[in-house]
Amino acid sequence: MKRHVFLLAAIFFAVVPLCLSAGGSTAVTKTTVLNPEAYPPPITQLPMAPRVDTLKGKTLYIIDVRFVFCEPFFEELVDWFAKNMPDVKTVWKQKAGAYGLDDPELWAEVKAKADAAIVAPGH
Amino acid sequence: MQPFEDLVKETAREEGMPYERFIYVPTPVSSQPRSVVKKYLEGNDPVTGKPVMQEIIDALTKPLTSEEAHSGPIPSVKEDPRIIGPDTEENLRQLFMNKGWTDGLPIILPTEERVAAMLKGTSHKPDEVVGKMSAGPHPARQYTVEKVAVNAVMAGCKPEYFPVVLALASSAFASTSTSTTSFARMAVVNGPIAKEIGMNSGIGALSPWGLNQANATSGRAWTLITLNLSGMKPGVSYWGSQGNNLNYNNIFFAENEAASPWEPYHVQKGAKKEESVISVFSGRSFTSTQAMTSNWKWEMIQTSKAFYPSPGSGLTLLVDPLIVREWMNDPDFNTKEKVSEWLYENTTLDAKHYKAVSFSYSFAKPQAEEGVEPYASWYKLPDDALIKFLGSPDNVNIIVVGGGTQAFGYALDFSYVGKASIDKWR
Repeated sequence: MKRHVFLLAAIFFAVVPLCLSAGGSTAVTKTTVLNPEAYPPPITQLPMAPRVDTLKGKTLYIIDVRFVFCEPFFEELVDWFAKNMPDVKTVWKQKAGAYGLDDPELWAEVKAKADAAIVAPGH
Repeated sequence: MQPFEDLVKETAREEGMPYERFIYVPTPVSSQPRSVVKKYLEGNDPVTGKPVMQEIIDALTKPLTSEEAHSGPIPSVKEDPRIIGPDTEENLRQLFMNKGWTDGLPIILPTEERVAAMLKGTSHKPDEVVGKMSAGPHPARQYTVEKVAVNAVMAGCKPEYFPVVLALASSAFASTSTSTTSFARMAVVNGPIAKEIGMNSGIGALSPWGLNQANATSGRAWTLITLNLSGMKPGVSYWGSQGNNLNYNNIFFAENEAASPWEPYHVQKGAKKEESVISVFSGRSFTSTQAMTSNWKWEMIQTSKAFYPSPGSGLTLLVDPLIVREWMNDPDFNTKEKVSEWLYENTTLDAKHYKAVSFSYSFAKPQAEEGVEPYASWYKLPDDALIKFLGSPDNVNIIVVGGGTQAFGYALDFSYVGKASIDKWR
């Protein structure tokens, strides 16, 4: 019996230090890091253009930003208004320059002459 | 296909129009016949499921809501703080991956200690503004030396590479564009710093093999800078349809000035030989060319003709020192200017096909209509007339790189877009 106690004690003392050792090695190291992202600039909301009550009798500018070979889209859009809303005067305008460039003259014309405008299309 | 809803909404928000009324049609619209786009207009919006034309009419006639009529500052989206954690390395790595802050490859976590060490690679203060960058239609973001250092650490750069990385960041050139056409970029280092930091300009300079740490990690840092500092968001504002494998660490190397009989590239662009400068190029692709066999001239011209002709685009040759040695023995090719002139003169396309190229339609035609040369003259040419579409010998760049083991090189559809001083950031 004494021998058994001794063995149990031996196992206990042998095991406990191993457990303590294992527990020590799995202690989690935590660290801090720096955020790699730049912050976006502040945004100011622009007022949207007021809407018209109706398109009847109004001038609608349809502006082509000149993405690659999109004329058929505009031809169809203009045709749709001619067939379905003939009292809307559509003006199809191609923006000057490549699609990514500004055209201040056209925007001034829209403000002066259009009641409403569609700017299109993407891809 | 892709209606680009996220791109449209996010770009509009960042431009101050968060409630702009958008109507979507199926894509592509480009190059589709009337019969196809007619169905688009008579069909439903792929995002809302509502009839397209009714949505257009409603968008033009329905009164503005109070939100739409509002103007003034928009509360900013909550951003992550400067310091993240504490957390385990495993969790932080996963966080960086989940946030989209990496290129998908393992990173070095930018601990405060590592970033502090990187900052010792420059004399500039951490809070100094380096510049602004935008990779697409979204507004450019501003960033500091510290932010660049964080990304340089993540890429695996050593502190001695940091002036090169800062120069790239200061150039304002992103390492790609958000374009659906999947751009790539190239950066070439000239001057003493290349040798000082161990950049490879010889054997395997463009490869991942061997001791290419300076080339590999500095190039990768440019990609991470673009990802994290320009505001580009994959899946929102990046839509390169196929992507470009060059984007992983870009084409990034030093010119082999020691093996070149010609003036270094940066000297051609106005810098002094003893200055350290980074030159930036933009394009999409590259292919092999050679100057070894009797057929090389024909082969090289066919290669340059095969690139997509785009207004403003250039041709860049990365030539091995052996090619240069061959050329130096030929009185017609013994200067960069002669080679550039020859390539410009012979890289041609007939007017019919030039005008049919999509980029000609988008970029050359509008300029031709405004009388901008050479496009105005090109658009008046008969269909069978040949157009020297590189535009000028100045658009042909020649850079010497390689170890002299083969008279091969690369031809790239890359244009020179600008340069930045590295010395400024030491």
